[in-house]
Amino acid sequence: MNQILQLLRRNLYIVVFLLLETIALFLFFNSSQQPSSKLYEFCTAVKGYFISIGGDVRSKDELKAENLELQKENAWLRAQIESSLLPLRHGTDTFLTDSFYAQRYVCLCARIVSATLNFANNYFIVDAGRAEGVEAGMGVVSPHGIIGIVDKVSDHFASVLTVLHSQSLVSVSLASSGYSGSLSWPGIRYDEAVLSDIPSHVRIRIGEKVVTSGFSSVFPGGIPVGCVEEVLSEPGEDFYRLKIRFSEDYHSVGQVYIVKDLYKAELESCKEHPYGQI
Amino acid sequence: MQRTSLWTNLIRFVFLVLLQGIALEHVNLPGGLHWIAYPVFIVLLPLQMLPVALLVSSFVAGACVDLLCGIPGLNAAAATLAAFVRIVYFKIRPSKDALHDGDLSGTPLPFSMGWGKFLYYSGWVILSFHLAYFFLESFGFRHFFYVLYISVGSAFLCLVSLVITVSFFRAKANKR
Repeated sequence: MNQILQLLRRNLYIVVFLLLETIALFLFFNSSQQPSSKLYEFCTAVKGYFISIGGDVRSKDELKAENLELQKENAWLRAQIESSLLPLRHGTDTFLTDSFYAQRYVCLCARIVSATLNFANNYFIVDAGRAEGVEAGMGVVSPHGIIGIVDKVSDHFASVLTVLHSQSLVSVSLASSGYSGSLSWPGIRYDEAVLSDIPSHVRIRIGEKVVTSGFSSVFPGGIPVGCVEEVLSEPGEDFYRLKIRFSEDYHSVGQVYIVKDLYKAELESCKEHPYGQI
Repeated sequence: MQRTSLWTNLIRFVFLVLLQGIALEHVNLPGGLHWIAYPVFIVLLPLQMLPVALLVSSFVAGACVDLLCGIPGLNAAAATLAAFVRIVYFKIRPSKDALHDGDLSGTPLPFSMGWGKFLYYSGWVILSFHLAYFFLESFGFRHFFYVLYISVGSAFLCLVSLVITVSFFRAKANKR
């Protein structure tokens, strides 16, 4: 017994090492997304504050105000395009060829204050939070493409799970044929993604545009995502795997729009089914 | 551990963790490299430090960076492994006895170890940190050679940070 105790005392550091490593790996594998603690929310807020100070110093004051005005105007214009509206064909006895529209999506302006691109799971932090009406699950788009989905929200900042994340899956479609599939990020290059589940009978053209399908309440349909660069699947496979080049350069993106679906709750309630979600 | 050494390490800890969490984490370098400077703290911890204390302080440093970066456990796991490699290194190569502690309270520095030995020792610690960090981060060995390239490249950057820090120490020591 004494010998065992002595051995243990001599190699206590190995026991402590194994214990600490187990704790760290447990934390890591149990939260491959992001921690949901209040502490993390607090840290995001503090970090966002520091980084936005740095960003404020960098940006030129006169251009900043002008940019903000332009961004607001863009957000308003984006809300006016057809994909942001919900056609209302009901409420009258007769069928109307000229449908009425209700506002479905609105855009909130935000600026990226922090971004990672080198990880297998990349997040952006934007300077809009709960106070501005941002909620988890909202889509984030930029002038040239899609950015990701809002993940965690503090009072004035929000973290965005970008499309450059190993668990990101976005429903997109080919602009010309309308066939939809799932866009995922295989890692390595921040300007490339993989589009899968496109049936093999569809004719694919290199350079063809890929846009959001609009099948979820996250992104309106028709937002540019990228273009087809290469067919990755082998001949004879049932579904295509296509290499997509993103239309947005994630290295230089600064201004973004957070898309709010005004009909999300209603849509979600329709998806609830006694046997589970549709 | 002497009082001055404790303060030096504490200041180094706070500075490097904040530098990593607030600034370096957002620096996107060409070639997908990542600048992780805070393992310098693990390399420069005093030699007299108890192995358990060394492991715990490395774990805490990693956990603090994790909190700032939003990736729980990743830095903590890699930092603890690096500390363990350091302990094993000095157990296998007890060059510790050959060192003269002087004013620096046993901080492993090139002036006491010699540049060659110092870079060899810190190379092991830093490389083990980066390998653990990037392979854990990529969730496996899917892109083995790419991750290896990033690990080695980023470890080199960290080594550069270490040399800068150590040179700063020398300048301070010379002043004294």
